[in-house]
Amino acid sequence: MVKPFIIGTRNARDMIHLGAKVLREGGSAMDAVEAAVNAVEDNPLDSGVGVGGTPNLLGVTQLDASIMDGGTRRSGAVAGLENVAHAISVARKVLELTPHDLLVGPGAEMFARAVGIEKSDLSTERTRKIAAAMRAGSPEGIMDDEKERERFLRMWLEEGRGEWYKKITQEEWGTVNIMAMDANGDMCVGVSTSGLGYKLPGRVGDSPYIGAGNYCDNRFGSAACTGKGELAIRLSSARMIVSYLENGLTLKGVVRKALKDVHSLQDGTISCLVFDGEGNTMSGSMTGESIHYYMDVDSEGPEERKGVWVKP
Amino acid sequence: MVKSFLIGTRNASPHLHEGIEVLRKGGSIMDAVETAVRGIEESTESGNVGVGGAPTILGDVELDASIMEGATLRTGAVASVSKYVHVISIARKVMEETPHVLLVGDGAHRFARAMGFEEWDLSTERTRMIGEAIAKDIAEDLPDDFRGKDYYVQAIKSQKLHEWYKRLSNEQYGTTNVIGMDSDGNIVVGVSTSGMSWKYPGRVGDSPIIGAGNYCDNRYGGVACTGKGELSIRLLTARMTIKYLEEGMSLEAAITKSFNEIHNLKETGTMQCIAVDKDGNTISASSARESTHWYMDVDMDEPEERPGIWVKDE
Repeated sequence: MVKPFIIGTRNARDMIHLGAKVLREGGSAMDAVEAAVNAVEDNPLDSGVGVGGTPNLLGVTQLDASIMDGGTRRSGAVAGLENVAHAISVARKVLELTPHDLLVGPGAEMFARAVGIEKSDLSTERTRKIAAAMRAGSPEGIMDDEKERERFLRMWLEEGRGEWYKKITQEEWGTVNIMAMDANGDMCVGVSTSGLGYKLPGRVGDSPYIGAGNYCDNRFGSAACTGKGELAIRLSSARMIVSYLENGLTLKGVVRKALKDVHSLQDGTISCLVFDGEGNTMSGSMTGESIHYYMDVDSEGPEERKGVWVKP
Repeated sequence: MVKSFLIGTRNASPHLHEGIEVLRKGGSIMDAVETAVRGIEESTESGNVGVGGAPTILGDVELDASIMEGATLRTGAVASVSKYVHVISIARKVMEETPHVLLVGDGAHRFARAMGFEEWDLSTERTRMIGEAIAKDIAEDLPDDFRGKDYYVQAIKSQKLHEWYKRLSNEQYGTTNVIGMDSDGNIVVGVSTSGMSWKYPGRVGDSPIIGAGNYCDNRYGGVACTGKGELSIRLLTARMTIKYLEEGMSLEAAITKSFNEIHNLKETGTMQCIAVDKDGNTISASSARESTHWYMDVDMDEPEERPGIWVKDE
């Protein structure tokens, strides 16, 4: 039998022990994943997730998250969520309490309130500075007047600022991927993010998109993605990774195939994290060395593991 | 060589000729799909798409849509749009004008305004009546501000909404699917919907989820789904069907495999889909009943009804 374990991306290194503790105490993979993701969401120094997440073009932090249960293949997700730090917990409530998979925007926030999740302030000194700088960089008053904001957006889109936008958003992302397998062999994947920095308001990336940034199936394995979510959406990358496992490819083979597909779009890069039904783990990057962190119920600390660098 | 054609679900059949007219005048296959879908969105007939669409549990109409181009795998989508009717066109603008794929809610409204779309009242006498009826059915002793958010929050907390919801939501959906293919083999898929009737505010189904309710790739084919979107989201039904075509299955075999997977989830609710393969063969399928779709090519005067398959639970 596979020892219960949890793995995560680089930004989860110092948090996966919280999930490992849940597993040691006999908790489910989903409890473990939620506990570890919540800790990343609470960390104001992580600029890509939860509190302190890089704001959108209007200076507002909007969160996306999803969680999937590999046994039932049920999932829950939220997108464009404001004023709530624990987006992954709202996603879990969507899974558990509603007949739906994805709630967005004010509907998601209302739902969070209804299930008793408290309002929190997502801003930090850093995000407030960014918002102020964006105001300063825009024509006077334009960011403060509700009606003028549309002109601001149009300017960005039409008057060449789109180019600048492309430049700043090349590397402005950071998502946390955490996934676990428990003593029952149940798998769970959790993904949480503030999305692309300076995104258009309401932009949704791959994180809350089941099949793009998150997928798992107890029979085959689990996958999660970070990076330019638009690419994972166009290819359903996480779903494809799990289906390649079903086809019998090796873990490395799966990662290579999935990331080569992304290279073929010639439009940016993603990274991914994978494990199979035997508890083997792997990660992949398109731009450099790839690593991920592993802990099982007997580990004393996170173990760094090497993934594959998939070149074009 | 294939003649340029469109296929659509039942609710699209009265509007396919609008798309075909675009092709006859030299428009692109994307223009044709967009035009046909716009026709449905403006019509109050369908009850599940565009103006007069099925409202949320708070009585508001919220629309979702997506469009995908099989040549480039480029795509655009919007979700939870309550102030604009032509969501298929906003989705196309997301694809063409932004580095993003999906915009939702208020952000989608801002974007639509910035792109010059005009606001539209999506309610009709029917949607207003439904809104009233929902409220009456949930609570006998309605507070005056029953449409208020606080009431919704209280109703979820008290579980009343869940009980009520379970009774109603098994067959409460309807979406329009239009797929086009031109004589060069370019495929475009368009999907537009008001989503599941009496959904929770902000609920997003499979229509704007690329890979779930919409996918195409010129090398293999195109697929669009309607039905309980929560099922195709969990399986990535459209994307997997295209993968099965890539692996060499026939259109019918690929669809059958996808629908068997839906049955295997053992959940309530049903799925329907329409699809084309790279050679221009068309099909439709249902997990619950006889299935048909409508076909029209550039040489036809009106659409023809084509039988599909009923994939039963075995």
